[in-house]
Amino acid sequence: MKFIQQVKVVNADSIIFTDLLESVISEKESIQNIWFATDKHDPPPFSYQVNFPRLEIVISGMYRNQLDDPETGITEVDLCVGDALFIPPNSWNKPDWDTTCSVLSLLFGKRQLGFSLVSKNKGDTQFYDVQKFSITARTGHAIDGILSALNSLAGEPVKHPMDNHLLLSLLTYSRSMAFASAANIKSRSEDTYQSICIYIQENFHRAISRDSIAARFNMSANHLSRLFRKQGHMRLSDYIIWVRLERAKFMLSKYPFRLHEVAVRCGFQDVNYFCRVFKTRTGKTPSEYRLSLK
Amino acid sequence: MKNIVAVTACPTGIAHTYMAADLLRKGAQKLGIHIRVETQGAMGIENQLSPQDIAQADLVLIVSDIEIEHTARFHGIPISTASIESALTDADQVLQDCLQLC
Repeated sequence: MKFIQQVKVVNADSIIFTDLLESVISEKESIQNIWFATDKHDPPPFSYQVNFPRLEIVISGMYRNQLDDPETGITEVDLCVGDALFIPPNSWNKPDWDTTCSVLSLLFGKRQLGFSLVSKNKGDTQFYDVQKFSITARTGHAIDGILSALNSLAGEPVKHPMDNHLLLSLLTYSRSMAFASAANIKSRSEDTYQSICIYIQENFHRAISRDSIAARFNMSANHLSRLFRKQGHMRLSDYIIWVRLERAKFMLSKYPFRLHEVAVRCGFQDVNYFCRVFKTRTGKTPSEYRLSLK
Repeated sequence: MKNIVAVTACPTGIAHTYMAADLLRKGAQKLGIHIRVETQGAMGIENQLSPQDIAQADLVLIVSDIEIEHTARFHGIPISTASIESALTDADQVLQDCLQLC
């Protein structure tokens, strides 16, 4: 009996957020400004800084934030209804929470996609309403690509109008995930597939291979490849390389490591092989890629 | 080695929950404490503490500004509480305080 009640609650939350996303998407023209958080300077205390990307959309009122300003240090921005703030991994924002507002947050974690709708009245110490809802994330799907495109765009000088299109893709994709979770149809092979993706994301720097992953999940190497192709629409080896290269791009943009070190830290034993793969997949050598971001 | 299980949670569940968890994990490693941290944020309950984790724990550390879920499972184990703010400011101190208690 208790179990049934819980299921109902989950569905109700899922409907709140599916509807909310639906209305944000249909009033897409009302998305005025899209802000991107960065992290050139150290964040002030109690800023929001996590290692997964987030998206915030103002549903009502005015939402005041401190953001990193690559030139001047810290800047204060007032986000109005329909404005969106995209925060790439490790970038930060600091909400002031001293204005009346309702803000929808999407948290794109490795395992979970989280939704939070927070409402605050000016002058109150507490939030008057907080709704939270989460579903299993879908790694190895298009949403990864949409997020990494937004992460890259955050560092580019010209963002418009790509930012609008990508944001709409992200919202649409998230809504479809929330909607699917309401039906809650998930096969066992999908579960296994998800666990394997997470395993790869957590162990990309180690010497993982098709055989070692298959052994870890008690299946044959052929079965693993088949499962991956069926669930992920991508070959296992392509997925591993994709995860490693994404990490390499992040390191190249962020740290002054030597190429050899980047290669090793991303699970490539051989720096020449790393450079070759990088060039084939991204069109640039690692050094060119690093220079292009300067 | 002392064994601590922790739960972090914050009102919005957007960031501080996860930041506090990371800081506790880092601090514990430095201080030579074995820690398992469960987060109760907008992504739901993650890294959920297993009954074995809890049974082996010397202390339960709750770092939260709101009421957390499923507290009954900690029955019979000493509980220490701290605010999210204290963990974000000085996680090492929060952990040191725990060591005094266990």
